[in-house]
Amino acid sequence: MFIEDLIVGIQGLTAELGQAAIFLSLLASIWSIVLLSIGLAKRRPNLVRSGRNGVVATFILISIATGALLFGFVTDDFSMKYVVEVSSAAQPLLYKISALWGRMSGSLLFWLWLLTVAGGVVVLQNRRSKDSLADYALIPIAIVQLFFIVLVTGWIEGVYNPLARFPAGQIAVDGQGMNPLLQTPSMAFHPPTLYIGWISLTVPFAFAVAALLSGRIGSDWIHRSRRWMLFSWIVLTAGITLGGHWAYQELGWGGYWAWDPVENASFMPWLLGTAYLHSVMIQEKRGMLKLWNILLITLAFQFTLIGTFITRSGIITSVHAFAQSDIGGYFLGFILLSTLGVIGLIVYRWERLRSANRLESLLSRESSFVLNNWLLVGLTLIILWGTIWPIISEAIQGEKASVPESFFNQVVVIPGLLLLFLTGAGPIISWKKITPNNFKRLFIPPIIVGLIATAIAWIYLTIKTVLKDPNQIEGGLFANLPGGLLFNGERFPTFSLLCVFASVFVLVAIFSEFSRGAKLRTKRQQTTFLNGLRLLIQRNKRRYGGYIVHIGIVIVYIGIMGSKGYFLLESESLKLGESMEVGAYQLTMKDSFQEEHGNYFRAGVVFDVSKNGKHTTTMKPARHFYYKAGQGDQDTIESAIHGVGMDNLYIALGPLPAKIDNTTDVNAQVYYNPLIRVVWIGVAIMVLGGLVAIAERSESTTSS
Amino acid sequence: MQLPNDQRVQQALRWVNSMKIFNSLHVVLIHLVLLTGVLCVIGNPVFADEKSDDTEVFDTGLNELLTSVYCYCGCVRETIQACVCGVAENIETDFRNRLREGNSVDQIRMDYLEKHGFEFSAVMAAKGVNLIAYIMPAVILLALGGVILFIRLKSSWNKVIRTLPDKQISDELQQKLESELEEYKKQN
Repeated sequence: MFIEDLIVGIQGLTAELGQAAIFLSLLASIWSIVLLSIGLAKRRPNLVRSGRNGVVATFILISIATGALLFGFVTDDFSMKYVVEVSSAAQPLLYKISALWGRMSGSLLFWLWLLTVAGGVVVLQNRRSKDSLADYALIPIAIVQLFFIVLVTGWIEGVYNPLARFPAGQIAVDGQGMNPLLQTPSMAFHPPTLYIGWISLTVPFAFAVAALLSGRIGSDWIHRSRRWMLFSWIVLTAGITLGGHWAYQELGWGGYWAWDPVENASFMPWLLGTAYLHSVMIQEKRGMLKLWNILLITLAFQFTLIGTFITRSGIITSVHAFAQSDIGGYFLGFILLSTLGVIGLIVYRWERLRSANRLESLLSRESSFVLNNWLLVGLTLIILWGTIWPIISEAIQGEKASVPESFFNQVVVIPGLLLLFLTGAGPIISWKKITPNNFKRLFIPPIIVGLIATAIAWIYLTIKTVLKDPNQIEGGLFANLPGGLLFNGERFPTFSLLCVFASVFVLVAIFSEFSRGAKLRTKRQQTTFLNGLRLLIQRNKRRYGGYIVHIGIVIVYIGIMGSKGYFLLESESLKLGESMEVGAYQLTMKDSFQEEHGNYFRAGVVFDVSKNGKHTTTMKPARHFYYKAGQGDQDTIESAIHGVGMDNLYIALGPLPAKIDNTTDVNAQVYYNPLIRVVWIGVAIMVLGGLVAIAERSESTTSS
Repeated sequence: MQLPNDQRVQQALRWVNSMKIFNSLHVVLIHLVLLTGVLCVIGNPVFADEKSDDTEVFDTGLNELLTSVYCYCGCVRETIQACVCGVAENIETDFRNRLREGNSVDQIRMDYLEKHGFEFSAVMAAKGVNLIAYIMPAVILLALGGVILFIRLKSSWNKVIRTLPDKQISDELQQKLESELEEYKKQN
């Protein structure tokens, strides 16, 4: 009783405390911007120190506001408008917490909080720094913070203060509940990881602006922000994959990537970040591409905002429609203003941005990085083009076109395959220029092995096509793309074979690099090969971490080729006791079930799965019926997924009749997704490689 | 004259080097850019499957219909084939019936889109205004490649004045260095 009274007492204060903290943070961030600017311009350390404190104060104040909102969720404070909109008393604790980013107002506050954390960490990391580069970087960080603070104050139209209460002291009996689609573990972690990735990109961008502001255009800003960039890349990689995993489990269409505008919005900064991670190496090694690197990181940062603009504005239809409001205009305004600001600074520092060297030869590492940047930036722009095509087509013909998945698959496949090839070619070419000897030694073995693997794959695919009913191979990325040549009445699998060739080429090239280096270490240190390999990676974590990432990328490509190009789909309406077939599997709908849970009701059917008459497993696809659905539909698809080696057997159910028996139909979609687990494994290897690379201390950290 | 394999490769590479192909980055880039552009453009986005008998024609037609329009039930961007809702089921039944009645795939598809809106089309044929959408990716790659080429050419013009002292070592010297390095590795 005492605790309940205490909670009610605190509830009476939290929202007001949080709102006050938001308003104070507005002052703190303005304080930071003004004092840092004046202090750095007039070389007044006291003012700079005060500006830094302002950034820390903003972090503390926004932490108070976020904490207040979380307290409201955890204690079911239904006097708060936002809590009522996205939570309910029966919602599990994990989803009460994740409700923080369940809708617009809260997600902006959460974004802001992460941004203030980043600001605080930059202050902490550079507290002993003898130069002012980090202080300059705090100015753009504080400006971005200010933009988000203004958004959450509730002063502008389209988004209300997440800590606002209902007028006249009204208290709702219960909340409306969060959108059921978001009540899954993947969704509890997918948005925060993406936010963290996007926000971490703000820091390298801020350091680039700091370099322009301070005139220190060397590689220092790159060294200082290297770990931030890698961290952002790792987290974005994980975040995008979590989103794909969520789609795979929750949306019931058997896939993980459909080129939805919001998927694209998360993917575009990742592509630009990847391009930047490569091009900064050219600046570090050869003093080239200074301007390009600044432009690239600016673009990557702006694309995080463009992503938010696309997600929130509602200009493009997306599966993320639950997060829409009319604040897109503010984002667009901020994107334009900040881009203009950076362009102004670039013009101001134009002379210092000239390259110290130039490309010597196509067969050099820097050239391969330039090609890699060309393809990555090109892919980003192509994806942006496809994403905004509905708006453009509406402007031209007055009718919004719908850009299908096949469009994207078709336009990205060639640049994608070229990129895959460069993933192996880049690391084995030396800087400046490769000699004929080295070319022969490094390129010919992977090319030969690649060609042998391609021939084997061709024979395998041909035998498979001839043996199986060709109609079983459904559309997708590789199978239905134009091959030009025909083989045995079927389309020649050009892109699959190119993918196999490039993948094997890359794997052989990279493993040879590991092997050569490890052998040398083994010889020098008089140790075992494995120990030599360990020492090799330990001595140059950045380089070999990068190679591990490349191996992961190859594995992801192979997974995509299998799962997107060769999946099987069967859809049938079944009564209890009836069977269907997918590939070599027979599925019999044996039984039905119903279960009561805290805030939902689960109903589904039991499938007996067998292969060649032998029982393999039992699968239980279901649908959940949520009592409180907030802004979403009440029922969700809960697919049943069974792993078969690297493949998945996947069942999703259509709407269920009130009573399931041998007179009523249940619609079941069954997919056989080859190599889909390879995709998840590949991403895990990419993340592992990123972690190895991030473990290397940057030059500036080492020297200090 | 029969040359050993090693020598032949070396000779070929030397010849390629002497032709300045590896050194003239812009020439190779032009080829790469053009090749990518051509490959991007030649793809025909919509395919018609081969038809042999009536059942196959029916199945192909139905499959084309089910994969060429999105369901309007509220599931965003899921084709009738992929959507598991009851609405999709009814649409499929309707498509089957209309195909049996002799309606063409295009006619059924058009009726569906006219009724529910063209945003429910899951196929974007490369014709009319949509042709721009298909051409633009190649244009983007070509334009970006062009910018890189321009910068590269500009920097090579500037080089005459600015970067003469930064001359690279000759191939012979580099080979000598490499052979000495190999020798050193063998000794250690």
